[in-house]
Amino acid sequence: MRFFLPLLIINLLLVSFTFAAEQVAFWHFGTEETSKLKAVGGVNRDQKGPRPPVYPDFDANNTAVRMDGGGARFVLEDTGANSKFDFTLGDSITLEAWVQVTELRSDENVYIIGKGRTYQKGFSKENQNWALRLRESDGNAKVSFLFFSKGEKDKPGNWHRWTSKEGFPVRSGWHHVAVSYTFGNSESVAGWLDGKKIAGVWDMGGATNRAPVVDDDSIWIGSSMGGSSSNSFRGYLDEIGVHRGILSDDVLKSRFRRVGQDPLANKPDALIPVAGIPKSGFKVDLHEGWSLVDGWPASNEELKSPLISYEVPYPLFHRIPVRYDAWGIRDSWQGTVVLRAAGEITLPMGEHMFLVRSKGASRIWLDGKLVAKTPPHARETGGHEQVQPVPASPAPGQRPTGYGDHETKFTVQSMGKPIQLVFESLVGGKKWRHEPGECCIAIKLQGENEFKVLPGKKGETPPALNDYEWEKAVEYLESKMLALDDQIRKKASQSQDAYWAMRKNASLDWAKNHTAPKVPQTGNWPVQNEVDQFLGARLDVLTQTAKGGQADEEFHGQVLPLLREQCFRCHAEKTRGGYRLNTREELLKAGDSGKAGVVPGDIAKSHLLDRIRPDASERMPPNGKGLDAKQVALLERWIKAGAKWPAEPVDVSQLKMAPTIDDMTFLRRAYLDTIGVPPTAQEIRIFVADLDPSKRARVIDKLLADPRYADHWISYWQDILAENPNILKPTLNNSGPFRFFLHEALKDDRPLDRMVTELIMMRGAMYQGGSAGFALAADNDVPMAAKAHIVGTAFLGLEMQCARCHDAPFHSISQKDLFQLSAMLDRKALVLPKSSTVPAGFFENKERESLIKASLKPNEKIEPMWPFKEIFSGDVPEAWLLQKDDNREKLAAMITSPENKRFARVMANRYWKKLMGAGLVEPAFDWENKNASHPELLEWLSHQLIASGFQPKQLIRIIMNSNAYQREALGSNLAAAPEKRYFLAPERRRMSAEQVVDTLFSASGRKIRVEEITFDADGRQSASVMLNLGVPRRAWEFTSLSNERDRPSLALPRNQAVIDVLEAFGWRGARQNPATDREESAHLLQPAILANGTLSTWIGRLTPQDGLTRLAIEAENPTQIADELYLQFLGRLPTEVERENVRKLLEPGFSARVNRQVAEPEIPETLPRLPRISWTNHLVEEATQVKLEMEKRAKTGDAPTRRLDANWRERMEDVVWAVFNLPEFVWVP
Amino acid sequence: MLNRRSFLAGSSTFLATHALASESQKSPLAPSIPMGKVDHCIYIWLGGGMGQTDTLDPKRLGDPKKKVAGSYYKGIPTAVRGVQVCEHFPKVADQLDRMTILRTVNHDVIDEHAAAVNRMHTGRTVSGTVVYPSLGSVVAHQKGAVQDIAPAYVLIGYPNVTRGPGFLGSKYNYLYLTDTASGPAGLSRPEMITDSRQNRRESLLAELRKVRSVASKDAKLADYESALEQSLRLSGPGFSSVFQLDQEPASLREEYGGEFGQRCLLARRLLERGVRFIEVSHNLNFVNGTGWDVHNQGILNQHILIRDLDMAIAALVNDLEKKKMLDRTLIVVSTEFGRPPEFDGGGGRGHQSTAFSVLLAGGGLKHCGAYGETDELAKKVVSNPVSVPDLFATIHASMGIDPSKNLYDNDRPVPITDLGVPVKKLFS
Repeated sequence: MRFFLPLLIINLLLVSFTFAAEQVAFWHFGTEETSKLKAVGGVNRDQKGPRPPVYPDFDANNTAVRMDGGGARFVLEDTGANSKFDFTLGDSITLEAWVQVTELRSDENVYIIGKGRTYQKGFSKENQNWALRLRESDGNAKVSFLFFSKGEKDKPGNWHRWTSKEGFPVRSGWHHVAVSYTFGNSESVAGWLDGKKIAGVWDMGGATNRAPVVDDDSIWIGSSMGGSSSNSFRGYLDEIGVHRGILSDDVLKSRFRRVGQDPLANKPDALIPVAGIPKSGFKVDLHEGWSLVDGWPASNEELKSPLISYEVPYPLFHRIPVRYDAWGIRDSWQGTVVLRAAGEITLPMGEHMFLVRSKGASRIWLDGKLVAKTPPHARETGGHEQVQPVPASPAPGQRPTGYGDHETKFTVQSMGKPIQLVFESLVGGKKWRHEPGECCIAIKLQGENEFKVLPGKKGETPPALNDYEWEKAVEYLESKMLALDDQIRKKASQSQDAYWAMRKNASLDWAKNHTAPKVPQTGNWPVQNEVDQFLGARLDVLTQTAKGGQADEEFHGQVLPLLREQCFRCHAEKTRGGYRLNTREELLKAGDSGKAGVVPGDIAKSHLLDRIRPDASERMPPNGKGLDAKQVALLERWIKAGAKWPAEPVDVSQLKMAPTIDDMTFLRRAYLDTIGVPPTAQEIRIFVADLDPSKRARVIDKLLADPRYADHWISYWQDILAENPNILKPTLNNSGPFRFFLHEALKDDRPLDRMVTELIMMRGAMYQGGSAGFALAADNDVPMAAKAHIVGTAFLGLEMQCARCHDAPFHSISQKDLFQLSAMLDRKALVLPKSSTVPAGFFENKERESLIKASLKPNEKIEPMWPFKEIFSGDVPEAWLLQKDDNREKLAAMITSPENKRFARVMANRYWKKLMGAGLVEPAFDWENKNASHPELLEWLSHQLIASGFQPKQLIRIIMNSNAYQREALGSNLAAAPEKRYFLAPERRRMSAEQVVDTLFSASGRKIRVEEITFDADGRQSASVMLNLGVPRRAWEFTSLSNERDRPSLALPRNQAVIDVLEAFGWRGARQNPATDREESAHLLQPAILANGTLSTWIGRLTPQDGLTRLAIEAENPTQIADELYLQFLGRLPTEVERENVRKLLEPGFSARVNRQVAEPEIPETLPRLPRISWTNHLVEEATQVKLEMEKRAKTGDAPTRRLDANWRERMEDVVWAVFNLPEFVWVP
Repeated sequence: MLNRRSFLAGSSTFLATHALASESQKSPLAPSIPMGKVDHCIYIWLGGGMGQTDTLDPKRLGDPKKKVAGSYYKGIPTAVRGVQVCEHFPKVADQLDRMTILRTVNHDVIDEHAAAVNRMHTGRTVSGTVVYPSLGSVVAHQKGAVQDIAPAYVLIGYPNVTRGPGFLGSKYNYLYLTDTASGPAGLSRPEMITDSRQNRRESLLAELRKVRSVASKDAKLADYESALEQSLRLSGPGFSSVFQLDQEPASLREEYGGEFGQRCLLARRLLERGVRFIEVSHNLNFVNGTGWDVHNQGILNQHILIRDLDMAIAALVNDLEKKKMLDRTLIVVSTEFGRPPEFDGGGGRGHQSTAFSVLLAGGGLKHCGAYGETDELAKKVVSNPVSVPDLFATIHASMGIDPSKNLYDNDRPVPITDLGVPVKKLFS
C-alpha cells in the first residue's frame, strides 16, 4: 500500500486538474486487499513491491503481484453497457502502473491492462477499447497504448498503437509508466516514464480521430488474446490505475520518487560468492526455481539456497541428479536450474587454452573475475531448421560440441598458483527438460595438442575429449550419479517410513490374529517346503477318491465340457433366469419359469432342452451360432439315460511328479526368474562345484538381493499397469513414463502395499517418471475409468473391460461399479460422457432382450464410492489416511489393507504364475466365478505375504525353494481345469522378449549401444511434447518409436534393430491396455529375426573389447571356446558331438588366429561423424539422407576386431550364430 | 444428410461390445452384403493427410496469397464424364474409368496425426480396454497368405502400433521393409553374409540341432522348430529373389518412376508371390519438406508429390491389367485426413476430416470415377457419405470377408468393422 498523504496535499493544491480526472479503478495489490479480480494461471500475490528507502512513498511492507506469463492474468468482468470502464469518442483516459519486468522478448507486446481483445466467445477479436502495454524494441521496454477504431462507412476499423521512443531495460527494477489520451484527438496522447513525460509515435495504423470500439468484453490485467504467451506480462505489477480524464503533468511527475539506484537494477555480471570451495574436486550446487533462461540471478535472494549439493571429480556434467518429491517419487525440477560448480585448480606455468561447453547460458569465473560466457539455450522451432555441418573438432580427432550446445574458448596465463574457479550454467527451464547437454570445462595445456577435461580431484583421471574416453567417463560418472539419486531418494522417502512402519505393524498384527491354513503332511511326494506339502496333500486325496470312483467317458469327455463351455458363464456361479447347471442337484431344480431344468429320463419335461434348440424363442446360448444338432442330441441322450453325474475320474498312473532338475538347469532358470539374464560361465562353474546342500537356497537369496532384480520384474508391472509412454506428444491412450517410479520402487524393495499406494496416489512429475505418469490416458474420454480398469485387473482380479460402456454380460460388474471406482481415483464425481455409453437406439428393434444392459445414462453423475463390498466390506482406520476426505487415498488403503484378502491373494497368485507358468487361479486378472486349484495353498501364500509385511521377495523365495519349482518344465497346468491343475511340473516357458535381448547382450559380453530414446536430441521441446527416455541399458527401457508420421527422418535405427527382436517375441512397445499374459505362440518372425535381424549381426560379430573377442583371443583350444559358448548362451556344456562340430570348424588356423600387431586395448574404428538430426531439422531433405546413412550403418554393424585373422574370425562368428539360433536358446530351461 | 449410423460416431468402445447383441439379432443388412472375390489388396498410404481439393476433389481455384479459399491447382477432365481431378494427375485422369474416388470419407479426428492414422488403419477410436487390429492384420487373420510360402501381410514403411495386429496377436503382424533396396527385417540375409557363409552357418546349425532333437510331443517346442524351418525357407534364395527389382525390364521400372514407384512395383512382385495384403507408404517427406502434411511452405512443392503418385498408380494399374491381375487386386489410396480449402498463415493448409478423398482402383469393382458429393469447397458432405467403417467394410467385402463377422479378443466378440456397410454401388 502506498502512502497517499503526499498526493492528497498535491490534490488540494491543484483542485481543477484533479477534479478533471476521476479514478475509475485502482489496485494496490495489498495483502489484505479483496477485490473482484479473478486470478487465472500463475498469479502470485504478496510479493515484494517497491519499498523504502529506495521508494520512500511506499509502505515498508508494500506488496505487489507477480505474473508468471503463459496467460496468467487477473480478470474483471465488465458491468455491461455504459460501464465506467467504457471509453468512447471525446472521453479522456489515463492509465498508469508500477512495473518490474523480468522477461520481455524481442518484439513482444505484453499487456499491463486492457479492455477487450480477450478472445472470449461472443466478442469480436478486434475489440480493444484501450490498453496499456509494454513493447520491446531496441532492447528496451517501451510504454505503449493501443485501441481499435470503430468501423465507419467504407472505412473498416483499424488498430492504433502509440509507442514511446524512450524505454527502460528489462530487469532494471521498478518503474512507473503511464499514458493519457482523449479519444477523437490524436494529438492528445502523452506518455510517462518514471515521472518524466516522454515522446512517442503512432507507429501502427497511424493516428486517428475516430472513436474506439466499445463493448461489454472484460478487463484483463497481465494478458490478452485468450492468454497468448507472447502477450503475457512476466514480472511484477503494482499500483495499477485507470482514470477518466487526464491526470495533470504534476501529478504524474510526482508519482515516481526514487532515492538512489533500484537494487534490482541490472548490474554488470557480478559473482555471487560460493561458500566452501573445495581444494580438490568440484562442489556442485543446484538452485531451482529461477525464472529466466537468458539472464542471471543478481542476489542470493534471487538465487535461492541450493536444493542439492554434491561433488564431482572433474567438471563434466552429463546430467543433473533426479529431483524427488517429499515421498521419494520422481518430480520435475522447477523453472530454470542454476548449476554452480566451484573448485580450486592449480595449473602449470604457461599460457593454456580453456574450452567451455554448455547447453544453457553459462559463465566462468577465475579468482572472482568473469572470463567467459556462452549464449542461452536455443529456442524451439518447427522442424525446418537447416541441417548444420558437423561442428569443427577442437583438435584433430576430438569430440565436437554436443547437439544444441554452445562452446567458447579462452586463454589463461598461469603463474602456477592455485586459482579459484566458479562455473555456472543454466539448465533447462520452465518449458524445457533439465538436460545440461555435454556440459564440461576442458583445457589444452601449453605445449599439448589435445583438450582434456579439467583435472579436479586427486587420483581421478579426467577424460581427453575423444569419443572413447568421453564415453567411458560418462559411464563412470553415471554410476556415481545413480548412487547419488539413490541416496537422495532414500533420504526423501524416509519421511514416510514412520507411516509404513505403522502399516507394517498392522499387517503383522493381522497375520498374528488370523491363522494361516495348517500345512498338511504328505509322505508320498518329494517335499522341499510347505508348497510341496500342499500340492502333495491334494494328490493324496485324489488317489484315495480315485479308488472308489468310476470313470464315465461320455459325461466327462463330452457332456460336462459342453455344459461348461456353453452354459456355466451365466448358470454356475451366477443364477441367470433362476437356473444353475453346475451340479446335478442344481440341475434338477426349477428356475424362474417354474420348470425343472432337467427331469432325468424325460426329454419333454426338461426345460434345458426347450431352450437350446435352434428354433427356440429365446435361444440359449444367446451369442454365437448356438448348439449344433449333434450337441443337442448328445444332451438328449444323456438326459434320457438319467442325467447321471459320476465323480471325476482320475488316472492315478498319470499322477507323477516330474524329476527334479540338475544344477545347471536350476541355475539358469533361477537367474532368468530373478534378474532376467542367465549366469555367466564362471558363475555356473562355481555353482556346480559347490558341494553345500543348501546352495540352491543360498543362490536364490543372493539373486533376490541383486539390484538387477528390478530390471527383470519391472517388465511385468509395465504390462499389467499398461505403462505406455510415447516419445512424441501423448496420444493413443499414452501414459507418462512411470517406469522410473516402478523401477525405483523395485530397486528399493518397497513393500507391495506401499508401492501400490504410491502408484495410486499418482505423485511427482507426470512426464519425468513420477507415479503421476499413471494418471495420464491421452485420447481417452474418461482417463480415470481406464485407470480403474487397470487397478481392477492388476490388484483385485476384477476384469471390468465391458463395464467401460455397459454392464458386463458375463460378469456381475455394472458400469456404475467401474465409474464409482473411477470417481474415487479422480477424487470427485464423474459425469458419464456419451462416448462411453451404448446409444439408446441400440436397444430398439431387438428380437430378444439384449444381454448387455446400460443402467447408467449419459451425463449421469457418479459419486465416488467403493463398489465391491463382497470383496472388502470393512473400512480403513482413520490413522491410515493423511487426508481424511481424500477418496483416492482411501481407495489405495482399501485395496492394500490386509483385511482386503483379495489383494494379497491376487498378488500371491500373480507371483506363483510368473514362476510356475500357470496360476492357482486362472486367468490371473479375472477371478469372477473362478476356482483356485489349491485354495489352501493360495490362502497360505497370501498369509505369508501379509506376514512378511507385503514383501514380494518373500513369496518368490518360498516358491523358488519348493521342489515344485525345481522340477522339469513338462507341465500342462495352464490349459487344465482348476481341479486338474496338479502342478506335477512347472509349465515350459519361452524366454520373454526382454530376456531374449538381455541374454544376447550379456552372453556375448557386450553392452546395449543404441541412440538416446528421444526425437529431441538438442532439448528444445517441452517434456509434455517430447520425452527423453535416455539411453537404455536393459531391454525394459525401450519404448515404441511412435513413427506414426512415417517420416524416415524420425527413425532411430539402432533402437529399431533391438525393437524388431523385442516385438517378435511378444513385447509391446505401446501398451494401450493392461495385459497379464504375453503371447507365447511361435511364429515365423521369431527365428527369422534371430537368424537375419540387425541385432544378430551385432551379436554374431567379434568387435574390439567385447566378451566373445576376449574369449576368442584367450582360449587355449577350440574345445574351450565350444564349452564357453554353450555355457554362456545355453547354460550347459556341449555334448561330445556338439564339441566336435565346433572344433572341426575352429581348429584350422586356430594357432595363428591372433594378430599381435594391434595394440590393446583396441580402440574401435569410427566412421566419419554425421550431421545431427533432431526434431528441429527433421523436415529438411538432408535429414532423411543422414538417417538413411545411419540406418545403413546400423545394419552393417560395427567394424570387426583387427586382432583376429578375418577368415578364422568369420568361422567363429558362424559358430556363435549357430549357437544362439538353436531353438533351445529361447526357452527357460 | 448425415450417415445413418452417425449416432455411433465418437463411441469409443461401444461397437466392440455391440457384437454380443448383433450376433443374436438378425441384421437387416446381412443378406444383402455384397461380396467380391479379390485375392490381394495394396493399401497405398499417404501419411500426413492428402488435401482433397488439391488432388482428387478439385474445386474453384483459390489464392494462397490473398487467402481466398479454393484449390491450389486447376482441375482437368478425366476418362469419366463429369469427373475432374487436379492437373497433376494426367495419367490417373486417363485411367479413371478403372477407379472410384470416394469423395465423402469422413471422421472426427484432426488435431493429432497419430490418432487419425490409427483411425484409418483400425477403423476405430482408442479405448484403452481393447487394442484393435489393423486392416492388414484382419485380412491376414481372415484369409492368410495366398500362397503358403509367402507372408500374408507386408509393410513397406515404418513399423508402428497402428499398423499392428492388436488383440489378434503377433502372428498376424506385418513383415516390414523401409525401402526397396532391402528385404524385410528378419527375412533378408545381412548383406555381408555370403552364400558360402550362409551355407556354413546353416549346415552347422542343422548338425547341432540334431543333438538335442525335440521331443515331438511337446507342441510348444515343435511349433518353434517348424517356425524356424519356415523362416529358413523364406529367407532362402527362393522367396527373397522377389526383392530383386532389377529382374524387371528397365522400361517398366522407368514407367513406375522414383522410390515410391519402385515400392509399387515391388508390391506387384510380392503379390505375384502370394502376399495377401501390402501396405505401401508414400512417406517421402523430404521432397517438399513435410510430405503430404502441407502446412505453410510445404505446399509449394506438393505438385511433385502428386505427379510422383500419378505416375506410380498409373503404372501399377497398367502393369496389373497387362498381367490380368487388376480384377484380383484392390488398390486403395488412403490417408489419415484431408485438408481444408482455406490457407494457413504461410499459404499452406491445416487439417480437415469432415470430408476427404480415398481412391479405389481395380478389385473387380463396378467403378464410377467418383462416388459421393461434397459442397462447393469440399468442406462438407452433400450426398452419399462414406464413414470409415463403410470404407473398411467395402475393402473387406471386396476381398470376400463378411464385414459384420466377429473376431474375438479372448472371449469378447469384436465385429470386424464398426457396423460398416460396403458401398453397394461398387458391387452391383
